Amino acid sequence: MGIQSIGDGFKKTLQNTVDKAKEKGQDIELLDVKEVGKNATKQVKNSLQEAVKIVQNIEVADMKEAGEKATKQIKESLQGTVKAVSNVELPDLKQAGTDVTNQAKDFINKVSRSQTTIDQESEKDHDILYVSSKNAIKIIYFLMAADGKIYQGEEEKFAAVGIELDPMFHKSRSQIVKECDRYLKKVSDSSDYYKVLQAGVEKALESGSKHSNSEIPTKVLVWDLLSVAYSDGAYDDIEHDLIEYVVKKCRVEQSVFVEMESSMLTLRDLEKELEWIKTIDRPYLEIENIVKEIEYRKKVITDSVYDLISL
Amino acid sequence: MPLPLLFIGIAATTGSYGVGKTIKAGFDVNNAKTINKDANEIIEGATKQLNAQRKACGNSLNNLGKEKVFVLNNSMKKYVKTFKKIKHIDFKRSRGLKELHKLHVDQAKFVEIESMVNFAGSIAGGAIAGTTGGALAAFGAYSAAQALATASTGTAIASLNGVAATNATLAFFGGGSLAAGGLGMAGGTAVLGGLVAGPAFMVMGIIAGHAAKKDLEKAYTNRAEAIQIATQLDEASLQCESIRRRTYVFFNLLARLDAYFLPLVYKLEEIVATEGRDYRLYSDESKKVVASCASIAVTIKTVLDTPVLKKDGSLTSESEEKALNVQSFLDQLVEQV
Repeated sequence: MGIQSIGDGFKKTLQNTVDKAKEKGQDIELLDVKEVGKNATKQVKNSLQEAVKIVQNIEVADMKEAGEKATKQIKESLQGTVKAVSNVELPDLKQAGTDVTNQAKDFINKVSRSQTTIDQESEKDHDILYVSSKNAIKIIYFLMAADGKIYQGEEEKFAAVGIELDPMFHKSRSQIVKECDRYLKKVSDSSDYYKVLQAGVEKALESGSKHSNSEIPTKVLVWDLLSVAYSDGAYDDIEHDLIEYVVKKCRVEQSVFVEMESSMLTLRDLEKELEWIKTIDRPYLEIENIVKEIEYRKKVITDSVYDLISL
Repeated sequence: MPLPLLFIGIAATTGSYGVGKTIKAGFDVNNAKTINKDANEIIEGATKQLNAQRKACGNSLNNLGKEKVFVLNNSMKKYVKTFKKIKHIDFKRSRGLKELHKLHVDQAKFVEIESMVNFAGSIAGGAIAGTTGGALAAFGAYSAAQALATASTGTAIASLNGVAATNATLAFFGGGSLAAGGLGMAGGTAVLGGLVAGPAFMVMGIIAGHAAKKDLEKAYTNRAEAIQIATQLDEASLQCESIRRRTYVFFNLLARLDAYFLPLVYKLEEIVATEGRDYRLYSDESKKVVASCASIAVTIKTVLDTPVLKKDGSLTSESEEKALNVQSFLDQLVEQV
């Protein structure tokens, strides 16, 4: 709930209550009403101003944390306001004062309830920014198993990838493979295979986000998954779907994913061009010029991917 | 067993990612000195981010400009030289080659391509002489046709350097220091389509050296102003990012087109060498090669002709549409190969 709307809501509540009190308390000396009203309004105003200043001064490290801090401090300020109002001397307008207090309390409870709902929703939809090395390796294992099985050549690739992500991979490898295979054995029907893979990936992603020693930014993970998927020359639908699932789960921008795919396709085409160049019969200087240009383009694309991930 | 292509390992990720904004712990809201310090840090953070973005953006435009020059000076130059030798080209009469009926070899387009090749030759000469300056970025940002049009007098390199020197946004991407007094073209001039105005740049260069105001109210004002300026700088960062990413879309498309084009151009040279110069006498397979070359050449020309930036430094909407069209062409080309 915005600060403005909280302030407006509170003001409206106060005004309604004062108006009702005025209707009831026609016989009450106006001086008392005015004084009470003035005191209450002044204290509410001070509390709200304090709340606004507090919100302005909060470092916006991330929106969720800022929102939580702001709401907590506004709540405390408003609760302070309620106390302040209920402490105001109301010799003849005790009932009116009680009404104000009750309505303010109701209002605060309403804000608290909506904040609880927001908390629950945001807990479900939190961004996954990092994944631990171990879980990243598991996700890569699931991707490599997407076509049904990990073949010998792929096992070597898996080992190379594992060491790149975790220098102690030689110690953790058998445990990781065991945990992943345990998941894959749950497949009862070939039509369930993708669902099982996805469930395994989901678990790995969810586990990683709650640990403070997470190491791989999720954008890097997406790039590495594409790199692995394209490494055998074929990028099939199930691999694409699994990587896209990771993209959506981690809330990586779809446009970033599309650009990464485009960069990977370009690198693949440049590699093919390099392979072709080796086969042609042309003057060395001419070939050298082209090879240099292709290598330069590969470097530019690498740098562009780093920029896409880091900036 | 080699790693998959460009796999990023843990060593590369440590400390490398996130220029990011500095996250600071809370500060004493009642102390003018700390509030002013915080205001400065807000500006510093936004400045750091924008400097990183504009440098990366400038690099992307340079890279695209350089790639355009290479394609024109190499694959395209070879293609023009060989294609001109072939006589009696008529795709409509090619029996059994249905797709060729749709291809129209536009003489005017061919002449334009030839002009671009000549134009690029002088830029490449400038690159060797080390006189490109901002010319490559200008060539990357704007259409080749626009660059040709401005080169009415003088050399290509001089005209592009002229564009680079007089355009505020290109100067902004040039990466030079924006410290007070060194703003050059960007100072006082709107860049990025007017997204960022002069005063924000002054602050960027100086790093909000507001004298530590003792008065608390003035400190709050400083901070409020700093937030406003930082917001503007953040918008500029986002715009730089958009331009950079669009530029690299074109870089990738051109790289892919060239990767298919060059082998076909070499085949074209072999066809002329072995089958002669009369298209009518070519085999069906050779006719397909001729047509494919023409088709890709026209598509490359589209990429070269599509400006990424408008004169005011904002992104062109045309570039998004053309990128999609070229991508679609490439998807079909890959299927046919």
